[in-house]
Amino acid sequence: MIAPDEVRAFRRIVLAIDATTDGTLVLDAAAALAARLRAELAAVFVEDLDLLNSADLPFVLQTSPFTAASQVFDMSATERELRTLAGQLRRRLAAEAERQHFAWSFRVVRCRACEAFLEAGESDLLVLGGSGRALLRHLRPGPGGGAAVARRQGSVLLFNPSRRLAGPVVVVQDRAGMARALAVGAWLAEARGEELVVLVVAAADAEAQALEEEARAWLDRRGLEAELHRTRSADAQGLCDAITRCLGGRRSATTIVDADSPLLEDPALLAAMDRAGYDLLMAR
Amino acid sequence: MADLKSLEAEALYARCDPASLSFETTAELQDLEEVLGQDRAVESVHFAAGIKHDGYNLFALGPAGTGKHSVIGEILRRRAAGEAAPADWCYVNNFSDPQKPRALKLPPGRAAPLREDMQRLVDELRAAIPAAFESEDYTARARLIEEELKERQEQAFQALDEQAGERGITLVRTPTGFALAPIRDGAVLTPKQFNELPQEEQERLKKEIESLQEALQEKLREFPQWAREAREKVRALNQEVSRYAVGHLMEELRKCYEDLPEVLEYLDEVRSDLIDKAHEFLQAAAGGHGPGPEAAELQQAGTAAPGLRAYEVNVIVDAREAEGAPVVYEDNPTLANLIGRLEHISRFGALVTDFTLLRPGALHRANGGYLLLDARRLLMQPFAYEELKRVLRSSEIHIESAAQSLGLISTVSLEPEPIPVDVKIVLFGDRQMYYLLCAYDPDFESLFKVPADFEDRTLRDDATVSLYARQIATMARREEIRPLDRGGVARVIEHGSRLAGDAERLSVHLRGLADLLREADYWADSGKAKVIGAQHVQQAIDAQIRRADRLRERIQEEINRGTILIDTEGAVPGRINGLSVMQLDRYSFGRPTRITASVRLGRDEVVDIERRVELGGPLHSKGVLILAGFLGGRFAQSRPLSLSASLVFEQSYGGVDGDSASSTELYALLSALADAPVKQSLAVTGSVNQYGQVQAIGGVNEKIEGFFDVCAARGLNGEQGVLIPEANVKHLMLRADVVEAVRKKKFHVYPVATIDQGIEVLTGVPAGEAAADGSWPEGTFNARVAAKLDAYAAAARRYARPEPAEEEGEGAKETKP
Repeated sequence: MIAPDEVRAFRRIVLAIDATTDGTLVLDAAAALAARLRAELAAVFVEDLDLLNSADLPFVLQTSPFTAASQVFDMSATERELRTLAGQLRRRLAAEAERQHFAWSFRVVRCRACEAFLEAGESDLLVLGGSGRALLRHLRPGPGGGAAVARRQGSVLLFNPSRRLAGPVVVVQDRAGMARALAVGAWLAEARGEELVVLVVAAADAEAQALEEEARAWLDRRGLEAELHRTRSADAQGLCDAITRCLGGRRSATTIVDADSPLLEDPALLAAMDRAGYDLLMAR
Repeated sequence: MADLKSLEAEALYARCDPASLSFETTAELQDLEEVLGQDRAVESVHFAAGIKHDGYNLFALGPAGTGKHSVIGEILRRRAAGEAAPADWCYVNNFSDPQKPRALKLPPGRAAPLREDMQRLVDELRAAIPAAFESEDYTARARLIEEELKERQEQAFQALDEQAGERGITLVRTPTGFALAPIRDGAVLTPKQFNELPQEEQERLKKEIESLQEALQEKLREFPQWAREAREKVRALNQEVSRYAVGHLMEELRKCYEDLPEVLEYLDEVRSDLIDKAHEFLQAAAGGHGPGPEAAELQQAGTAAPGLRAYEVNVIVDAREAEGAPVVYEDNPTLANLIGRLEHISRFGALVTDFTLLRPGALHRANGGYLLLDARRLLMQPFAYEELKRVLRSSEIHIESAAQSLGLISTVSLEPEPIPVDVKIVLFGDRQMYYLLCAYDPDFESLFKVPADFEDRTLRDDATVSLYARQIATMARREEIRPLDRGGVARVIEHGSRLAGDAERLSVHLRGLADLLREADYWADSGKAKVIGAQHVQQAIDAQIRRADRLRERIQEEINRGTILIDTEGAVPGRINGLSVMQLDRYSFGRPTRITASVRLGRDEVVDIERRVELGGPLHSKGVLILAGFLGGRFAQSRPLSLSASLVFEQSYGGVDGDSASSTELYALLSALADAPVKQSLAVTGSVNQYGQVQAIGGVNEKIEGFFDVCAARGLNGEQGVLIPEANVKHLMLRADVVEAVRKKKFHVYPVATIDQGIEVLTGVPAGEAAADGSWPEGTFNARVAAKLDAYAAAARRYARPEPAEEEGEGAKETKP
């Protein structure tokens, strides 16, 4: 059993959506998560200023990725599209909240994407759907992204909405004394009723042994059970492959990494995780 | 009085002396291997079975119960046992055109193992293919391809973004695509900010955006090609993985069929298809039958997923247990039962089919051997006979429904590859059907060249009697009944002659014989006898007659009661007892009938009243015309036949046919002319020709017995008897009581060769022989007839003389010009 003070429970989940994410799927998945964790879901629909400014420039054209054809990028049409989309999402959230009984709010903010996280307000968990999209880009560690993440007080969950946040919980332990990810993972696995797996990342066997023992002791103290695995690979792809092996080929899982882990400094990690089919929760 | 003597009792029945049989019971006799009395038919069967040319199919014709089925079946089975077992046939999927399933020919007994091997292969691939696709190697490589594509696209955007960034422009994602916009300090310029820029800068940015726009479009146009390349790579990877998963299993399978090039070719096609369609196995592994309600329905129906059914083998002919060539009897020769059918299964309310639902017909099962069919049943089934002929002409079996062949349905269906057929057809039918087919079906004689004409009787001599006894012994053993003692066998042989209607012949109606033996065994069992004796056989015969002779009994009863007028005493001119035979199913009996003749002056006319009222058949009419011919030939050489006569079967209310009463009618007519009374104690049968010769007729035994029964019921007085044609004496196999009455001179059977002989017996008046001038001796029967005809002729002349002409009056007209 996880003691309440060991983990910052996800009481308030903030969901940031913009016009480029697959809003409906993201909303549904977040709603299901909020209902399961009995948390409040605050949705923030971001009207990206860069997008609106682009549309306001008369010489800027919009190019379809499917036809490669360019057409007029009209401000009023774009604003109308954004309003319509926001309205649809709001109605959907209301319906889901009524059906699944959780508290909710829906806000439309017009700002630059990188400022969206500030606009979202304080949260225990910030949920972002999709990868390679505008919002996600600002979450990448490094210039412009790392700062935004650092400003967050809670955890951040990146997920692919098509997977609907399902599957086992894999906690990646790469440094001693980092019980935060383990606590969040154990709590989430328990709350979701899923299997807990611990993957120790260490270059040397001795280090791996020590991390495993620390994790085992932590789990034993709480009477928890988990499968323990280890890998030497700390690069993005190696880590994904190791997770795949841990899961025996299963394609859905939530991977939990401590928000301060150096693993997150690898710019390829988010994309690799997404391609491998694993959601990434950066625990704080 | 005529000097024609009646027959002795010994002439009335050809007895089989039990003492002449060289065994005590049939248990001592060996089974009869050959076929009794069917030499001609047996030769035909051997000939038809042996000749290998087209069209030499067999039509077995003959009465029912003569053993056509059993004899031919036995001969063909013996022959087939020494012939090669037929090839196996199966239908497999045609991977290049699934609408046209492919027929595969395999050596006997190899099709079923192929089916099992393919089933095993599919079962193994169900595990092997998903395992291969779940392997780390595959997932890594597949992911790599996917990543390469994404990376390539990302890099394209990134490069464009970087290129744009260097020029103060950024790539913005819009809800539905991409846009390029000018930036400053990482943010897109507002219109106001843009307008504040120097004009040159604005123009530069616009041009740069235009140029980058074109570059973006150029890149985006490449995306589908990249995606296609990635798909191709995935496909190639899938094929490689499938090939790996399938390869060794297929190689093992190929080794089993190295000697069969056609099967190897098929297996190669299977391998290619498996490599292309490995996803069917992945689907099957994911959901048993794949996703969706269709799969659930299939699972419920116990069928494989549609994709995997393509690898099944539908065995049409399985000769694993064949011992020689097949001999197949199709009892219900419908079109589908003959050529096979294509079944359908219901799927979401629609009927669908594939090659696994092809079902074989009798022609498939008999391929390489013999197919036995009942002709009547075949002809009664719509399209079956025509299709059979088509198969024989083309030597191929096309599985096709009647609706398809008639073009009544136009939905897409299967067109299975035709299967070559080499089969000998045997049709069973009666003679009438055979000759009707010969006459009316132009194809028949070219397709059924060999008739096997089955006899219903055979010569009765010592050798045949011996074989007959063995036949009885064989049947007794086959029917698991008691053996017969000598007396029983002798009685069966005698009855065989009676059934043949000939003392010198034996019936080979095997079904009737078997029935008699079974029934005799029943009576032996009732009498707690260990063997079947003559009395049991007689009991069986009597019981058969008893069961069938209700109508005979009723008629006899009405004769005895005087309802049907038959006299057995006295003598009357122009009236005679004729004899007819009534046939009810297989039971026939004789019935006396009063025939009367009346004569009057007229013009050479004998009126057949039966014919006038359309109760007489053509043969009866012919007989009447013949007797008229006789009359004219004998008595009207020098005078006109100025006679009108009427002949009638009294109290006959049904049809009359046959000429067996023509002599009887002639006697009645002559008696009326001569005014000579005919003895009513006698009855007559026999046909007559124009020369007055009495000719043989059928059913002589039944006719004699029919009149005997009437006489016996009224009391035999020693005067009664029957006149039969002399030529029928050899057919006599009369009942024991008749023979006994004859022996005691209480009843007589007169063999008559000519009308004159008959008339003397019937009237007691000498017939007389014509003199050279055509006159008849005084007082003879013929002289009395001639006198009557002379009188008629004179009267006719008198009436024919013209009346004295009246004097012409004034009104008379001049006829000359």
